[in-house]
Amino acid sequence: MTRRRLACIAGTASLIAAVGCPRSDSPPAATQPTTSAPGSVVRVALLHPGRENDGGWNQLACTALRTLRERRGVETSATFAPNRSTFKSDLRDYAGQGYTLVVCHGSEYVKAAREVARDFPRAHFLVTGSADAGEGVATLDLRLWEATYLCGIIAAGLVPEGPAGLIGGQDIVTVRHTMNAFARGARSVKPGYPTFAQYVGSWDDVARAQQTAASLIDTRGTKVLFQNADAASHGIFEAARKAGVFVFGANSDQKDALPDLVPASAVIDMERAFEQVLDAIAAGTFRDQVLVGDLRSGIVDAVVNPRFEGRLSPATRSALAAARRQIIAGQLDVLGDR
Amino acid sequence: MTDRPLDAPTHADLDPSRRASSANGALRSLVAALGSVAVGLLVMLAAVAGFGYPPLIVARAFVASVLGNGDRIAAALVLACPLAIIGLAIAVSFRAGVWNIGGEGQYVLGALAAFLAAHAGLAQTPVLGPIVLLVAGALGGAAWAALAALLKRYRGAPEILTTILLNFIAVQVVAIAVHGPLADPLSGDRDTTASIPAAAQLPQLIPTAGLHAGILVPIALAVVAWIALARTTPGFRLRVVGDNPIAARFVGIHADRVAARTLMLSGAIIGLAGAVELAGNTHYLTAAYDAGYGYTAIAVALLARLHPIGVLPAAAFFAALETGARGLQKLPDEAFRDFPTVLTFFAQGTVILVTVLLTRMRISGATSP
Repeated sequence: MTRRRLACIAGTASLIAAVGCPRSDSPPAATQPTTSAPGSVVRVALLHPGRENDGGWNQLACTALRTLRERRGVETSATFAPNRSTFKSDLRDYAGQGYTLVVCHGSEYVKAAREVARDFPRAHFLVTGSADAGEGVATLDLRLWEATYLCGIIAAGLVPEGPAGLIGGQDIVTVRHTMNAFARGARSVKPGYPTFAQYVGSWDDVARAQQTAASLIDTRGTKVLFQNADAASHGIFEAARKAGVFVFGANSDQKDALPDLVPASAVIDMERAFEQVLDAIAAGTFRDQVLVGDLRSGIVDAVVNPRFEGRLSPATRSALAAARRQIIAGQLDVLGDR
Repeated sequence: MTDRPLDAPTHADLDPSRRASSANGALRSLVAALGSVAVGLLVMLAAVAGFGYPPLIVARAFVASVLGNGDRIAAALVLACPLAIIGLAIAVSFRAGVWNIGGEGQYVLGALAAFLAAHAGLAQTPVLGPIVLLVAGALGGAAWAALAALLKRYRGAPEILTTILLNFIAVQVVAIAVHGPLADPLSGDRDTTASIPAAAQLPQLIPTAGLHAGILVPIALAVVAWIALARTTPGFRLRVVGDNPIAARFVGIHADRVAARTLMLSGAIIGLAGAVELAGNTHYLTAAYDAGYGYTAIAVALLARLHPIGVLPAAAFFAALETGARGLQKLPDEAFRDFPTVLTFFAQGTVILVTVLLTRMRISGATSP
């Protein structure tokens, strides 16, 4: 056994020796970043806290990055970075490699980005899902709750008696806002509309999410669900499928998950958001400020499943249109007193 | 049964032939660990090839991602720091036959205690500030581990269950605290705390790379633990209890008391890891502060065959694995376009599995001190 192990060591040592010396086309060493000079290749990096195939928040950004690459010839790179301890080293690595824009997909990155941005004044840092801009970091405040308010109106129209089950992945402010706005939207057309909110406690625990949804359906008599739980939403869709209840999508258009049971989704047009940011960088107008993605900018919206277009009553359509107008005009705060 | 004094090194320990045999055992352990790591890496490359990526290019990129420049080496060392400290704590507890699986909870509670201490008056003082944080972190971790020790002592609840269950509670305690009273008042997000004061932060050895003075903590702790286990009476008692608690009782060692103290000591060291990470690296808490270190560090301790010094290279190895995996994702190279992140985790898991399988460690008293 010892001899065999020694042979393995020798084999691996040879392998490492053979490949260990970086080639000239190996990853570049940390250098001072460059900004997007005219004619130079734009490079966009993304740090995301969840799996790229979660069907929600993280997939949204990864897909948008891929689209940027295909549409604009942008050089891209994405890293799954859920560990708080590596935030700064990941940010430094990208900024040091001269990436034009480093996107951090979630508010948990804000403080790390601020610390690193001090050392890389020529790099551009953007944190999505946050309103805490400053110290060299711009943030993209994605007001998905404006779209979930509209979804709530649709839910109350389809299932007037309710109740609705609201399921979040984890209890964070942005998710709570989407759930509260959904409930407020439903109550705007059906005062007193009953809702029950629960959190899975995880973004990727499919089984627990399914149990949470099934529990809401079985014990609370929930007839319609709203979920904002990323990869865990697969479990919620499964519970909805088994019980035959409606379930609303979040972040991206999730009608394909259950074409007959997903009436609408609150979606974020992340491609458009990224493109606007890149345009601002190219124009030299990118600052460490809060950029807003809302109904008015067209970056968030409620997308109705075509199969449900005919099932929406005229009253629901009218309520939807009125709410949309008021939100865009700034006359309706979908969260009310926060 | 009373706890009577016991001389630390026995005649057998001082016997030259016994010591030579111990040295041979350590060498065999080292060779076994290195061999299993090598096999694990080979299996990983085979898996990479199986997924359709060129293994040699992946290996080259992997090595460059870890050792490509000073900043990347520093990043791996920063990651290795908490792994080494927690791995050390787990190695010490396992040597006593105490199954502390609560590293995750003790780590976050240590960080929480350190964060709370950072706002005490004493912590605002340069030099003293970081020390206050580290002490608070150790106390926080020890207090959390003490719950499991008390449950075992008075209710007979096995620590292997209680420590793991306490992990879930600790993570939620931190989340509730961060969302609630500790949320940064200047942040609209309310998902993080404010950063701790600069005076309470550990000095940066290489500021541009994030390498902080906390990296010295696991090195110092490993040396102290090695000496303590090998050359002191409490260390000897701990080893005897781990090797054979019944025999320990026959020679007058209060095994239950030693086990309880070891669990609290282990918790203190893990809490210290949370404080070091807060004071040296993150500087703030997030609602989901757990990072899986408590579980990965078990693999670190096992790979090190529960040897305090062995924990250092083992932690560096696991940190290098993660740094390399993240480095692969960062490459703009065509060969890695859309490189699935799940593959990097599969690779890490493969190495851990093969390592554990081939190392064939005997958990209790497996190694020389």
